[in-house]
Amino acid sequence: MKPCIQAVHIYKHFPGVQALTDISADFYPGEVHALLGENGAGKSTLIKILSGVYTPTEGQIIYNGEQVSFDNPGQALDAGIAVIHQELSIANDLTVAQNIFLGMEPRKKNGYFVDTRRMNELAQEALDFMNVAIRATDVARDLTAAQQQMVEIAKVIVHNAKVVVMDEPTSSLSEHEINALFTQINMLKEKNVAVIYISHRMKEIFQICDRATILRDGCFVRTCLLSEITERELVTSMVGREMKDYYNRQKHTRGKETLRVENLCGGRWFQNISFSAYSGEILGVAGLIGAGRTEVMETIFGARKRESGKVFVNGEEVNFESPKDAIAARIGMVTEDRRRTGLMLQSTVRENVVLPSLTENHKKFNFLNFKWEKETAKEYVDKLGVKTPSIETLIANLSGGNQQKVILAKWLIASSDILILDEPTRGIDVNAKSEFYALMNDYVAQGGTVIMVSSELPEIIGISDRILVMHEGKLTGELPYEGATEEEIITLASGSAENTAKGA
Amino acid sequence: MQKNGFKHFVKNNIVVIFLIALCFGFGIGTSKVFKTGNIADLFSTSTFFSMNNIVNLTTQMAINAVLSAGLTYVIILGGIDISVGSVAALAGVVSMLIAQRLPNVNTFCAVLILLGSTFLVGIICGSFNGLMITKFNVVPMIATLAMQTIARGLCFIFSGGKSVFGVENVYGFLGGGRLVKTEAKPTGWIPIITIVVIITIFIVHTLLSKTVFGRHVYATGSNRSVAHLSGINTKRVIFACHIICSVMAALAGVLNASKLQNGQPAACDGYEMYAIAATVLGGTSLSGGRGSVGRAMFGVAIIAVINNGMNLMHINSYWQKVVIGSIILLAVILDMAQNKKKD
Amino acid sequence: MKKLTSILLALCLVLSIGAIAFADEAPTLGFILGSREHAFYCSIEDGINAAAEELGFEAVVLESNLSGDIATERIEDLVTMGVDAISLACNEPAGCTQAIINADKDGVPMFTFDCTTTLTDCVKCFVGTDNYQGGVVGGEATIKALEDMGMTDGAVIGIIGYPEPQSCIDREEGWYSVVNEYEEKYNLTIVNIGNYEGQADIAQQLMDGALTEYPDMACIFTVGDPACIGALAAIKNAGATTKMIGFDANPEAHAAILDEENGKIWFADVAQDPYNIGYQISEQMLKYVKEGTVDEQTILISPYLVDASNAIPQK
Repeated sequence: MKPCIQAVHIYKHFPGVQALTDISADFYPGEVHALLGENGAGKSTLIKILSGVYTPTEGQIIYNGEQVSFDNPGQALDAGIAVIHQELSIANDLTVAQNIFLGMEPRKKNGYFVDTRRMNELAQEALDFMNVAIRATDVARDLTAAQQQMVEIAKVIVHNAKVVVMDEPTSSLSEHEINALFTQINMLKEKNVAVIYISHRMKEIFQICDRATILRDGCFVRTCLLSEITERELVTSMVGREMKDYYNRQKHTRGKETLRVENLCGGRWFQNISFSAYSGEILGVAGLIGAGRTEVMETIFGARKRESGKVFVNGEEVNFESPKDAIAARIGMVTEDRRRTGLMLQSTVRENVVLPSLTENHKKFNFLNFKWEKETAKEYVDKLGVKTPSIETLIANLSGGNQQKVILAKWLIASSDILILDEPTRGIDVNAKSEFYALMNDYVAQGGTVIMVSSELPEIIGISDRILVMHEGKLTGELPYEGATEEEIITLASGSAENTAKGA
Repeated sequence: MQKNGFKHFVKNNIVVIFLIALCFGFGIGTSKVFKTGNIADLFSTSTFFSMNNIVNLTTQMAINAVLSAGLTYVIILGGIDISVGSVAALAGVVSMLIAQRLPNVNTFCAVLILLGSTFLVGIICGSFNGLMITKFNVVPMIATLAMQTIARGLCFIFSGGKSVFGVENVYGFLGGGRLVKTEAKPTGWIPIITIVVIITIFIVHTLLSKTVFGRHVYATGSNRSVAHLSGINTKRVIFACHIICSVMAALAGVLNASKLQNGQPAACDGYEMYAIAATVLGGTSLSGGRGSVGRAMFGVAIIAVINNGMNLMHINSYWQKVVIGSIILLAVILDMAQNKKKD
Repeated sequence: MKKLTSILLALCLVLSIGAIAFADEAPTLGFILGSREHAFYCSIEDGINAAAEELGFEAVVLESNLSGDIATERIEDLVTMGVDAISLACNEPAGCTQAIINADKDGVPMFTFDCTTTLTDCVKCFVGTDNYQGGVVGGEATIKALEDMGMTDGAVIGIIGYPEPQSCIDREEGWYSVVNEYEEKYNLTIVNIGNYEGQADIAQQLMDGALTEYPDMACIFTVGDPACIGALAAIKNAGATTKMIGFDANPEAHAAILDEENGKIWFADVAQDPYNIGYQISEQMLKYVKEGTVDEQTILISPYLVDASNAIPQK
């Protein structure tokens, strides 16, 4: 079989940076090809070259046996190369059909008016072919993230794309939504589409992909059949050294109870949540997206109004009106969306890291203490191993993993005793994840309390001491990490345990 | 990096370089260099560079400087205040009405009365804006648009549509008085208004750049959710910034009225546009999070120099409007370019 | 409940319309001022109100914000209200002439005051100041001031203008017509100081600049009193001896002329008679409504010079 699209000895040079050095890769029709590497390894640069965003400094793109050169993504799309970005490009106020046909609407005979009826029919045809329960006339805003992704895939089908690039398609999907996505990917395979799949989640890669190409620091490492390689070997190739224990599990000694939640209710989001967290313990909170985990955490942190229920910190009842009160009670929260609610992107590392501690560490008359700021920022950047040219670098210029460390440092400086981490490792690479787990372990070893919300089950099982599971706003189970299996958690998280119980 | 040093310097200081170029442009334009052919005559013959004109320039900048300083706060928040011109006029009218009713006071009391009316009007108008924006979630543009019309209306109601005049000379000290009287210049060299403005700018600049409150302003403007989740009472910050902005506007109006010893209900009409332009020229981002009072002053200086220079060169007033408009456009394009660079 | 409210509302509406229609038998006259933001128009309004009381008619006074478009809307509003005659300050003739013609066709006699339009001849009567003549009065006063000071050779004189409203352009032209005649005779330097845009502090900035260039400027003329307020501050700051003639003779002008210190600089002002304009236009309208004629098609109220001899002391 001939490859559908080939990258041949690609070099890409940016001012001051050699982004790609001699990359070659073949992508065959009907294959799901994983593109692996840590953040900054050159995956996105390669994708941008394939899809016409960049032109390579040297080297060729061979598409269907012919050398091609795209000046812009539009040309690549017309030729049949489609990219589904991590942040979906859906226009919220348009209907599903309008989104699918955006820019290529079917016209009526006169060529001026959009043939809405035909457009809806064609869109519905594609959706029916995918066997998903979405109507072409639905407004995109009303769809879930997973459904929107399906719309993107429908777009690919309608465009009759030969090559589809998926950049971290599962990052905002829950477990059963991922399975639905994989069904569609298999469907694309059957249609002889070449799928290029980017993800940081090892489990998925082995589940759905056929081959993998690994990049490191802009260089080609290897291409291999996934059936002939172990996860350990794959990670080693990506990181460039052997990763011993990825989660670096340590024995923690559970201390006194630091946080107790009794019958916390938050309107339609969650009801009657009760649990305790202890110092020297990582408490994992598992569940599907939309199970209300984030909302519970935000309520505890004072960022959301509670309906009823009680919260105790160190045995005393508290009533947080705003995050300000929670911070004063030494609680810190790392939110799930770094860019939207975690960082001031236009500010420097120093300005970000000291923000919650300013009110306590100033000089007379509210004057800023620049000396303290610099020293503290420097100290924590070193301590946490944040890779940044200096503490005055704009935070936007740091990689995701380093940004996350800065956010962690922010709460360590604020001397938080209880840390709430919401999806702390989303979108950061293997190496950085491993480092982040080590930092969590250190923190807990020093008597801190960690409550971690995560949708990645291996992570929940790998790092937590105790696991809470939520389903549709209710707590459905509590498990110790020993012996906990992904199946068990999924059962609790999807509510099937409850249903079985009722049935019996 | 080293290679780009010069380019980098120019890029970062484009406003300062532009200002200096403008000064020399007008300096040459108003001198007799071309007649004598001797460049050494530049400073001695140029009207623009004359001591008198430099002193005048500082007083001409005063109103816009104070307005821009206050606006910088709300623009850093990512908001806007288009009521500053009307609030200034209202403060001018109110202060002169009070002054009219309190004759026979000494200079010190006069200054206190003027400053008192500044805070009175500033705090009331600022609270109104702040309340609308934080409590009722009105978009800043609309809330301050309402204030703009309300304040202007009050100006005419309080003054009865006529200018408020006939106040004692002591009330002219704050805005029109001068120090260091010499034989060559019996009215004095150093305008009080310049000193007042420099002190005010110093205070608001320090408040923004050196205090915890200032940092909270930047944090709120840069990302309101992050600021809120970091324990900052963002509503209070926004409220305080609007009060600061309105008090600054009121101060500008009172200084103006004191300078003229006359409270004009139609004063400072449309001045918010000049103040916004100056703030943006000084590098404050309209999308919030970036900016500085100090740098806004360069924007103020550019606009003042252009007005003054063109007047001295007898350039038709219609053309002046075209030039100022173009400069405002240039400032916004610069702002957009800088935002793009960040992405 | 909703029904009751709507019935009540409808009742109110009918009653109020009835009230307007039947309440008084005295004629209702509509007036559109340029803008209440100018003391000048406020004085006209005073004249109108005085006339209404003395001559017995109902006055409806609106303003057009100096804009032709808004004037058009106001005319239409007044026609809808059913007034017996309308007069307006036609600040922007191009923008409202069509509305004047339409109203005339609808049978409402149209009048103008302060500014008029030459684009139609359906205007029954115009009462206003002769602004050009006012400029001439200012020009003559400027020359007389120079003569009094003995500066008949090489003096510098200037004008602060506002070349946007027609009235101010006329004043400027009137002033130039006089001083240009003396330019050669007295070897004058005539400086156009700039456009003060109606703002006192802009006038001050302009005057600051002018005095830097011509520190010995002898006399200036301004087309409006706010310009004088600004220029006065600039002249005092510079310690100059420039003399100044304003236009409009607002209360502050009278006060300044009589003031010992300010009067040395601001020694005279060209006065219009806005009160009289308001009173006389009312008279003409009433006469037309009652008798179908006016005294004259154009009544120009000549401006006159106010100086220390005839200024009125202010409270």
